Amino acid sequence: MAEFFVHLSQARHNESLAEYLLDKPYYDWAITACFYSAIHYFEARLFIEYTQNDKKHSETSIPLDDKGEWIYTPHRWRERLVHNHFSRSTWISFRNLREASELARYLSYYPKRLKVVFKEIPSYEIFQPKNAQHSVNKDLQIMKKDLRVELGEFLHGLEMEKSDWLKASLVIHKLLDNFSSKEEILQQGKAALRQFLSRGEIDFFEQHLRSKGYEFK
Amino acid sequence: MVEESTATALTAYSLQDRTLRAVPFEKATLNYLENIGCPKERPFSLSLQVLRELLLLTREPSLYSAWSIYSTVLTEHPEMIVVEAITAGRVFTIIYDLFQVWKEPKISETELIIANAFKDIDEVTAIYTQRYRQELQVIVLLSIERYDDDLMYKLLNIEYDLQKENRDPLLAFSYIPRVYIDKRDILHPNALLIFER
Repeated sequence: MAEFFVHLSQARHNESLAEYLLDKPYYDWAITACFYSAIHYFEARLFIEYTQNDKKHSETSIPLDDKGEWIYTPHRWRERLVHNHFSRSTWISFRNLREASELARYLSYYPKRLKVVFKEIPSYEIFQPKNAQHSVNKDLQIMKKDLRVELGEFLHGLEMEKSDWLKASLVIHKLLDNFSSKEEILQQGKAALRQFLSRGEIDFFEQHLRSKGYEFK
Repeated sequence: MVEESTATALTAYSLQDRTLRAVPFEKATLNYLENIGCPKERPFSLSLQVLRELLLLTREPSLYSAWSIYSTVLTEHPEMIVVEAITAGRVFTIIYDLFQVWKEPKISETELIIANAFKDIDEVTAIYTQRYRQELQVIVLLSIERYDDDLMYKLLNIEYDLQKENRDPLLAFSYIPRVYIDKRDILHPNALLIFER
């Protein structure tokens, strides 16, 4: 299980591969690369929002049943977290990426149990270039926007958790919930922050902004 | 040969005392029956199609009652089914249904809600369910042969609401295009057919 920047760079690496494959006859792998990019973007968001507890990785927060066994599979639990904390469109994009990528890799999850006799065609024939375009340019972008990846990266770069991890965690959580970009925060300034942050949290945030050369406009 | 009028309206007259009169239909069900032209007074004359539709009424407490009627007709009066099926050219479909009813009569309310939610999507050809640990796995078979993102968005919008409203059992959906040779190859005893077009 990786840390924020590891997740972020893996997400970007996978996204870059997906983009590279768009004009190649490997649409199925472009879709799969997108799905794995989406997973890492989501895990990066979890990590920055829950740095100091078990929720920072989806796999360490899977609920257990009475026997101590996972109630959800990791994929299902991640989908549940997206369902619970993000928009309908983000969840739909994430689910679409998973459905398409699993179909691309396996045709389906259930052939043995259902005894389906499949046509003798390779899975990539199910997909067309437009499906890969959809994955890269629509589904993944919807997810990234709602996960506020860029803002998360900016906040993580302020290194607030090094001086007070609890306060940093609260500030990051509130900022990610209420602002969509670094520019929005800097332009709207303290007046906007007062709606969501205490005076102490604003001072704490401003101190770290300044230490990295940023000022409210 | 059966006359057309007999075949198109499956008369449930012989069931009236034991089932139809006993079923406490809710207002929505009665409105539905009225909308399709059934007289308000019992006994009703219901086609098999109407029984199927009743089975799929949304959030209707009498769903189980409807299922009960459906099961009774299928299991105790197969001759009625065969009469209609022969005329409609659907003998195998109906016999397959009959087989399913005898084999796995317990279709849950959650499964009925799922079937109802997807029934208006033309590309959904069948829905199967099976249990795996705490999950109810829902396998939605589609008529498409190429992946269709627009269709997937429609299906996932429906799934989103189902996931929101149902936490127990956990629902695990899978959507499969027509990449198999024939759906009659899907015969695992643990997979329950809950919807078929």
